[in-house]
Amino acid sequence: MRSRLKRRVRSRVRPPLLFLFGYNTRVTKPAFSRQSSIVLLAVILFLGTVWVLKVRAADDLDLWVGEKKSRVDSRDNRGKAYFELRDLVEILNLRFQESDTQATVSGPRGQLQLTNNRPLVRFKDEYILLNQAIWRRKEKEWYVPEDFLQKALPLILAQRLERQSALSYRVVPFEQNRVQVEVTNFPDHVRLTFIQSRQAPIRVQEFQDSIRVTFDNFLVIPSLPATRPDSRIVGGLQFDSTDVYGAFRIDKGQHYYNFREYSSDRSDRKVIDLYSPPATARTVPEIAPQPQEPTPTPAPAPPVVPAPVPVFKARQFGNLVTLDPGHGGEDYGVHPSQEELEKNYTLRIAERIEARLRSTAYRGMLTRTQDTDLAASHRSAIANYYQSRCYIGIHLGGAPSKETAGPVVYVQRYSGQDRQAGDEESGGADGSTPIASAREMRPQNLIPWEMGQTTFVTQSKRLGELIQSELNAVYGTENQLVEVPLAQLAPVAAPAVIVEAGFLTNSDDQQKLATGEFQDRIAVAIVKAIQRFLN
Amino acid sequence: MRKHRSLYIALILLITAGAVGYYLYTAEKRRQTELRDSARQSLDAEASALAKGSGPTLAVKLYLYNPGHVDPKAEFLNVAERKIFPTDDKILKARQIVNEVLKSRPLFSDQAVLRQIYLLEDGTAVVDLSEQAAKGLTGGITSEMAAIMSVTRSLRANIPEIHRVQFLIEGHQTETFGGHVSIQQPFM
Repeated sequence: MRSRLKRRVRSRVRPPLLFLFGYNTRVTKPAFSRQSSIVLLAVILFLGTVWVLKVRAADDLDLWVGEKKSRVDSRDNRGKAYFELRDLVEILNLRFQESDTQATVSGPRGQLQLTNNRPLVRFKDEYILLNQAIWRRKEKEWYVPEDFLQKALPLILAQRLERQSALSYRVVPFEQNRVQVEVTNFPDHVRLTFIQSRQAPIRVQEFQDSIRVTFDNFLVIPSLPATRPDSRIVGGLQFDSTDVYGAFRIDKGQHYYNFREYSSDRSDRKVIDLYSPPATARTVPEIAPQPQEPTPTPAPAPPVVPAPVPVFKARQFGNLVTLDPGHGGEDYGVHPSQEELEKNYTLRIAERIEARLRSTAYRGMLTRTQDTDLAASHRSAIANYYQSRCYIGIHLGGAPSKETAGPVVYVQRYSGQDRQAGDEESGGADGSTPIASAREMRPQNLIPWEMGQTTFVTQSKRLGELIQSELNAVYGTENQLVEVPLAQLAPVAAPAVIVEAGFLTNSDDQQKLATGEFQDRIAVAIVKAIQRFLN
Repeated sequence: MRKHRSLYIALILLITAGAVGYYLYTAEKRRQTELRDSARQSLDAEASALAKGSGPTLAVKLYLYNPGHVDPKAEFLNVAERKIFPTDDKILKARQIVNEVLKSRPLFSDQAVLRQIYLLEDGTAVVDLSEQAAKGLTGGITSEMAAIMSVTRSLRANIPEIHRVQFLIEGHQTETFGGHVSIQQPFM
């Protein structure tokens, strides 16, 4: 049947393209052999493959370890570039484990947990937010976005990962910072002196059971003391090598009461005094005591054990002021240019306020110390958890018109406030008032989260007016306190304000704010207002 | 011709693949553009339908940001008059008003788009704005308040049935308008 059909085709039909399908209507011997056709097609396929690979290779990432350059494969997923995790793990000598939708990458300083389709990477108790979700293509084939290399990977490496150019990174050994710790035991307190070989920024943070001393920029090589601190006040002194650069952890002893830190004239050292409960006074002293002459080291602790003092949770946190540098991470805030980002200014100003507060009876607690973004509710939660004496959100202003200038302090405005003030007719009708039912305003034992600020509105206004007045003096302006419904302030169960310390969209304000000296003036003004308010 | 049979096959296949690829690429590009412009075009379609009756003859009062001011209680908004197409449909009127407000520069960016307006029986106007309407602001509390108040007051001043305005961003009830001001409750 088939051969008959073939014959009919040969005899009757001579279409011009029939030869394409293997039918030669005139000669029996093929003019162009089948082998040649196969070779030609193979060459075309080969060239096509090479071309595709070449296009793909252009997006790959170069990773330099010493003088050796390695290539990390890239792959496009929904228009976004991803880099193969397995290549990174092999090049950087890390360990990789996988379980269904989760993967773990372990390095010398900790491990990262990745979850498929989530833009979050877990490191210890924190989550690092990436700008793209992690992608698990198939089993043991995971892909990560480029900012994984910038934000997450350095946390577990024993070397620095330096970005040289777009899609080119270099692994550089950390420069070292030798930190020597000296212990001096006094009858009522323990002094810890941290002496470093570099001039790295030192940060002291208090937690419920411990105090953490962290050093930035250099890898810390610790030298722990031979002298043991008084175990009643200091439960232990350990070096935590899993921290990014290395950190010291001071465990609070059974009779720990509070601590003070001193920035000595020499920037290479930090002095921390940890106190036992005073015999009479039960409050934090108003003026920081000057460092005393130490008794000969090691001084034995007095045999008399102080009478036990009931320690309440609130007291453990001390006189904390929550300082919340606005924005962070991918949330730049106001950014009139790529260099002028509100998130950077707010962190710098908040750090200066925190430094200034150290010389007062109060201590600043920063909601973020790095360039990371926090949800509004997370920021408020930190203030509530630490039972802060007050909450100061640090922001800079941005306005559609460049002439808007000067500092503005904002406080929370709930519905019904105007009516309480007797403004029944016009109250809340200016378009700026959100509405809540009267039932929500009624005092209750359990306060809804967003109503935390309700009972502190008057105090917040007082605090806001003091800060506004101090900042007006710095700027020479006469701006007024402003009340608006703000997501960050509504849940804070403490006097709370948001300070816009000048407008980045105003060139005069921006020029002033760019200088450290002016940032310091703002910090001093805010600290002065906080002291006036809390005292 | 028979001599180069395979070569011709390859060429024809390549040309066909290229043509199909180009067609798919342009079709996808066209579709993306249409999707992007659809929100804006939907209003233009309404406006052109209204224009068939008469021109923009209905005067409305808009409350627009007064440059240099930061306190919502004090001279924060200026009154400006604009003409819109007359209509008895409250939603069409509200849409035109919000779109006139969104044209105010430099408060809103060119990408600020009104997605939809719903009018509830209790007098709440639900204004659904595009993400760029909030993200395109210069940032800061002043900008957010200016955006919220100019929309709210302009709607309330021109449509008596509207008592309060609830904002949505990209169809969702979000915590804040652009990072600061809470929009979980309606504004009045």
